[in-house]
Amino acid sequence: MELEALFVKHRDDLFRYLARYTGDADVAEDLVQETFLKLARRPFGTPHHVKGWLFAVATNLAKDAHKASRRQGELARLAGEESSTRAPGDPAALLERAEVRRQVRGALEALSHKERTALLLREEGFAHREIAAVLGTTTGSVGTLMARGLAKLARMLHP
Amino acid sequence: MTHVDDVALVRLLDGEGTATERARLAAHLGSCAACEERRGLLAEASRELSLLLDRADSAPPAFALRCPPLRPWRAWPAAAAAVVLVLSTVTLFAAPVRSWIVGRWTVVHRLLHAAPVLSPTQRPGGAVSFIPASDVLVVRVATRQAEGSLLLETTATPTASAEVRSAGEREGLIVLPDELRIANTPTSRATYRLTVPTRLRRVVIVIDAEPPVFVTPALAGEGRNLDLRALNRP
Repeated sequence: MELEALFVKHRDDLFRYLARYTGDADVAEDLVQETFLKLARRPFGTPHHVKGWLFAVATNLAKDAHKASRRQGELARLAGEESSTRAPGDPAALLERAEVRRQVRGALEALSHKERTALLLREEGFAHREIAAVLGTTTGSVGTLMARGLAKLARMLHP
Repeated sequence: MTHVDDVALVRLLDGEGTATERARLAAHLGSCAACEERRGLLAEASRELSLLLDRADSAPPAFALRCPPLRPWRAWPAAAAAVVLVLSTVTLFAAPVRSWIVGRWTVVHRLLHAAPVLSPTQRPGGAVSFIPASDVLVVRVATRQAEGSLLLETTATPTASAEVRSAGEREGLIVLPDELRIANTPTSRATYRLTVPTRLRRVVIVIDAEPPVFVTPALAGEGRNLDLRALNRP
């Protein structure tokens, strides 16, 4: 499949995943572009399981971007600004969404990179063996990561 | 009664495992209130996460595929390179400059294509590990050979490694800060395995005087095989 067609097919799913991972829609959009740039420059041709490959590359990029963002202490500020700069609309609805985002960020920040990745890929409909391939681990470990992540979330959401 | 662990409960929630495994777990949950309660808590956390994520999601923007914009620190070298290119083109037309460049190039060309010399500390064959000094690694293969190939793989670790397999006595590896030299001969039959970190921006493979092959490592665990046999072989 042509690069443009692959972009149209996977763009929105990748964007949603990256926006959830990084908490920043602008960063997510850049990372989608960077992911497809890597695909375009890939010397080995289009991978057999292209969706898994795209999400694996996007995960690595998101991890690096997240680290950099945390170092600068900007994550919370960006998450707050993002709602006002990207999504014009009803102020009350924006306020509520910003509050939900803060809640989501707080919950996801409590998870390790692998726990967060496993749970977010699960939300994208990935099977355990596909998540294992993205994380470079076993399906057994994916189950452990998910169980640990969900248990942490349960404690956070219902202290 | 032996309780089931959370991993098994998550697998059950996600429809993973065999039908037999799921039926066995379901039967256990029917008779174990403690496990059923834990299953309920995990399912509730999972539902709540989905709900929160959906509510927090932004609508995907209508963006098109594009080349990423140059970052400021990358834009300056690009501008400088453009200026150098223009100046070089202009000066190349001046005969004295051209003859000077040709003279220098002859020297450089001789150095680049001189028979590779093994460092006294570098034993032929074997394996080496090293950390490339920058984000571009040049792999220079002295010549095409009778048999064999170069297998390039990627790794998430920062360390690159190279190995000569089925080595004769005339192959060797030489590590320079940004370069790996494979010292071989036209009669060599060795295979070389090179593992490069994904942090590298580019790997440039030069075989003899052929045009370079550019490889951009992206994901750990990928591989590419380059045939090193002579191009005009029967």
